[in-house]
Amino acid sequence: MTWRKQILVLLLFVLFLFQGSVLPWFLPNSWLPHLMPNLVFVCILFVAVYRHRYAAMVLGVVFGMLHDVVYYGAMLGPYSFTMGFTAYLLGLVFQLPKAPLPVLLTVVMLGSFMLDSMLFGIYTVFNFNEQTYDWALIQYIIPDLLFRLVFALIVYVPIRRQFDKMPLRPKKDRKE
Amino acid sequence: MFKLFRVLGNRKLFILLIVLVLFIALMGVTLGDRVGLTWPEKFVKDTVGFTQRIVNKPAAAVSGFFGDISELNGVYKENDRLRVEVAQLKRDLINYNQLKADVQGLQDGLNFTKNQVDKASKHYRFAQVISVNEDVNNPTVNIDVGSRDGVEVGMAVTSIDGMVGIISTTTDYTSTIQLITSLSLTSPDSYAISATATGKPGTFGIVESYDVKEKRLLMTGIKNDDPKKMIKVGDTIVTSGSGGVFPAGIVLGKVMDTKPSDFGLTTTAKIRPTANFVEWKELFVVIPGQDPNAAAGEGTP
Repeated sequence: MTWRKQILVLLLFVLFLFQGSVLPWFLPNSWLPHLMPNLVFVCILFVAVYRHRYAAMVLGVVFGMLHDVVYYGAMLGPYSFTMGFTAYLLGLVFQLPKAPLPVLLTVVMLGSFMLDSMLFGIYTVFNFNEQTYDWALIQYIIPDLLFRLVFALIVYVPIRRQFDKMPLRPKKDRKE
Repeated sequence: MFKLFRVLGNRKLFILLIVLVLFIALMGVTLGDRVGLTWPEKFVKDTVGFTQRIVNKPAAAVSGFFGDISELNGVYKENDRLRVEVAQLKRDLINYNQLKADVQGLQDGLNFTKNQVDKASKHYRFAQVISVNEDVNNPTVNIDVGSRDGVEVGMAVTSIDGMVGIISTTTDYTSTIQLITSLSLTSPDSYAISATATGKPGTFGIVESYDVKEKRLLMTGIKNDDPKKMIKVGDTIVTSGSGGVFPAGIVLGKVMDTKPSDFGLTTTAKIRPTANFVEWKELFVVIPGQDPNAAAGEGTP
């Protein structure tokens, strides 16, 4: 009985604190209007690829709801829904316990793009923004994508090592 | 038709649709004006806010240290400039105290009620930023004072430079600021600020939207009966205090451009906000009414 899984979830929470309370003080000021450093989401995509899509979906919904509640400005739910849904969908398509780095980077790019586009869509439906999609694409969707890609490259080796040490439960595999 | 039933018979798709409907309902319910937060929300916000405060303190200190080092070169020049300004301030303070005493005497003479006196005065509550949400659509900032410190929903928040936003939600120990960069005419969660120009009495306008692309606040419906005192490029825009939502005299920004409105009766101005929305240091919550802790008589504004 190891506590690896519990510690990893705790680390995810530490990452959530880090992206809100530490990172904005160290990023260059000119980057800040163009980035939403949703680093927790990148780690959830790792879970979707290397573990299981349901685990990723639950983590996405829980941490998305945490984000929604803590930074409650307009409404509850957009992050929770988009993070859970994107993690589930990408897990459904790309779930490979032995996926190499390029596959994972593709998943992170696709996931980041989907997350920001869906958020843009939700806020547009509820009339919170009046910008056009191509403006949003240049202003923050693509910068976000690059930032998350770099973060995924940095944390790839340590996270992959932890996942390899954690055996997949064989019972669950057979059921799928 | 059978094909449609088969698609709907797919259990996962069915669950997905139900979840989608549930989430849209959740977003709709929590949208717009809410009376208060429920206790689970308060619990989560306070707990996370407490840990964020612990994490943020060393981070802000370290980043401030690096900032100080990079500004080391300009310190001597800045010091000289500040010394001149302090001398100026001391002279002004004598004038100010005299005028304040005069105004108080006049108010007493005219039998002002406590309510009327409070309307004209305001005090600032210091607050430390504990976390920032870098979301372009929904920018919010959390600070470390809450309803226990007398902060209420709807109060204005300023930085040293100018108005930053209003308090949108409070819990016991934290509150969330909705930035004025999210002001919008169509948004269901927006608000309007009545504003005027300094040194131009009688000017009145409403700030109720922010242009994200140009990074300008839009002030509409500007009117003044005296054409000589019409708003001009370079004027400083402050809150007017009429309407009773925000106290008077909170700096919003500088006028960059004016043009007649579509119907020609009023003027529209583009205002560059004086607060920058990236460097989060200390903020001040503007609380209407006199400071209960301040010593009577002596004191700076």
